[in-house]
Amino acid sequence: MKLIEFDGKRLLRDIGISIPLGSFFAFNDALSVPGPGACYVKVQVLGGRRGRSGLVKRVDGPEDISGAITDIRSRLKETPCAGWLAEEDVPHKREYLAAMDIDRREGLLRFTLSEQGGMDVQEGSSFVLQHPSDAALRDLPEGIRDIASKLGQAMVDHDLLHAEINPLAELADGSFMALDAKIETDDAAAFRHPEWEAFASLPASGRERTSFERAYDAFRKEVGHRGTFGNMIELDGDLALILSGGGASLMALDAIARAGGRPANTCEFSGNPERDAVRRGAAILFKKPGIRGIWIAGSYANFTDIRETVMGMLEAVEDAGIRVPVVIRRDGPRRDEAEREARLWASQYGVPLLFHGGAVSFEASAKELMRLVAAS
Amino acid sequence: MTYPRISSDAHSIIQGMTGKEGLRMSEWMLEGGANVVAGINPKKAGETVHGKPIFATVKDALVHDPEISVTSIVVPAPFVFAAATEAMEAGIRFIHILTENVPVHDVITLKERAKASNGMVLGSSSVGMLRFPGFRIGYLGGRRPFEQLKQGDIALISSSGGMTNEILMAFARERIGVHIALHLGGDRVNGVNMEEAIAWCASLPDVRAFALFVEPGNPLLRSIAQGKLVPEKPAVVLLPGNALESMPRGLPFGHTGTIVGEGDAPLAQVRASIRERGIICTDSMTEYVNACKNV
Repeated sequence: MKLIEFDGKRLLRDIGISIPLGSFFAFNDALSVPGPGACYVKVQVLGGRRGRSGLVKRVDGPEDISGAITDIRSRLKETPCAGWLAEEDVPHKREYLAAMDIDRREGLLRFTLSEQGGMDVQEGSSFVLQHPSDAALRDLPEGIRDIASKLGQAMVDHDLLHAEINPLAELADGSFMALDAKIETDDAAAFRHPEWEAFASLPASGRERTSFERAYDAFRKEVGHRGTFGNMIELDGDLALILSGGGASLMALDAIARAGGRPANTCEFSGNPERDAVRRGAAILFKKPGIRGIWIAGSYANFTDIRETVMGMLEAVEDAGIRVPVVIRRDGPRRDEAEREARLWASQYGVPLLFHGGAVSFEASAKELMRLVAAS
Repeated sequence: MTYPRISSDAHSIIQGMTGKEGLRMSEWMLEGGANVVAGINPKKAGETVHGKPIFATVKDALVHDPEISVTSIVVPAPFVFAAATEAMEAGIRFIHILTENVPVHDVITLKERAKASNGMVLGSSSVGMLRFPGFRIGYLGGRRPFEQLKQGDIALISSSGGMTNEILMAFARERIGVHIALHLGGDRVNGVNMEEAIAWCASLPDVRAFALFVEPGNPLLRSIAQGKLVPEKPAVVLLPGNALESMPRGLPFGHTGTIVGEGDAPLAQVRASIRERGIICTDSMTEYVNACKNV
């Protein structure tokens, strides 16, 4: 989960990194300011480049706040937002960018430091840490070495995927303060972090989701199998796609595009999902208005029960009440039963249906779907 | 580094064999000829599954059979770290993790510990591995892989479980011979990454060429394109994902979290720079299979 600045900063404060004095407010609450002087009004959204987009405003005093809020609201439009952060203006002499990530290639932490932070970040220097505590031994300016050590340890202790401070401000006395925070937690570790339930970030999660995507998100959350039902993205075409397998989904998407098809969505049902859950998830996709064809496409399954998943999807076609061509390209355990039952279902329900096994390529299967859609 | 030796008759255990996934996987493995000798569950010691004894700990299983050298872990994600640590401490050097959604820092720590003891962690979220003439851990290759697949000299290494099987089945239809097939896992960090798997397979005398399946964003692509990694044996790369380029950038796609980032080069360009290194790289399954036939 990506954290809004406010949650990220609280986490930084908890690990001993200084942050400005400030307060968080819900979106419709009245803001009060940290002091009489200049301050920042910062809307708590997940997207980057808030400064450039006019979503962060510096005001000279409390009397200017309501004007700043009105202006930010007009720019925000429908972007999901968790609230506001009002923060003291902290004078400083220099800005850096400091970030800790996971280097996928090495399977280790990677620290990046740019000597110029803020909105015009320069290329930084970065190095891999053999151990989270290694940052303490590196040749870095003293205050930054301390920040790097704390970030490294926090990555492990708090199960973080990314922790970035930009700008990291150096104050007149040589101390450092985090003026912004971009932090992402590892959802897979949620079981050992009950404290994450208190994040204010939750309402702002994800990019701007369409109502169609939100309905599917609610289903995923209820089913609770992140690894089985992948992210669904709404697209503007007219073919409902149910794809299986991470890599195979990419192969299938490329194939349908090559055949001239325009998907209404991408999604992924993997890892032997339960028939009833498949039925409910698929029904959401099939209910989208304007669907002209359905493609159920996946790799030659290792262990997914093809009969159960395919029949769950066909039940969803009935639930959605649509009568459009269906092409299935699946193989693996119980494929023959799946094919027999799917054909019987199609003849009874009265829709054209083709069942392709693993010997039919994604490309050929996609072309057949396009042929049926054109003929219907 | 020295790699764990994995022979076709390697004695394997399954940690979590008594659960739903463990029951099914062990049945498949035994049917396919794998040498599963025991299962582990601290609460069910003394029971049997498919005629194999269940022990409370890995050490107990090793007392029963000191030749155990491989384990497959199918316990729920919160318990994977402890299970893998137990196996390592008992001296098992080859650890396969089928479980999905294991916290990434758990995998990083396991990988580090495995390296320190010349061991290997395959996964997490890995469907498994098979190697001719008869070694299999996990599900790859259907119920009877060594009857269905043709023995040969290709090493198939993939970041997608479904596509590993898809490619194996295509190879079976085209009678392309395989020596070893590995699914590295779908997570952000894998115990064995692509480059390490390539190095390991290159050290196997029975491997003559590589068939790779790589998803966009995998660090291997950059390593090959920049000439930092030069496979010692001929290689063919299947790299799909053109359709992702017309989607919103930075969004995770599917369950494995493939992300096309804002800074990534277009895939056509990535493929071209890999081909410049003398490696066949395509987005078409047909071209890929044909290239593997002739490699």
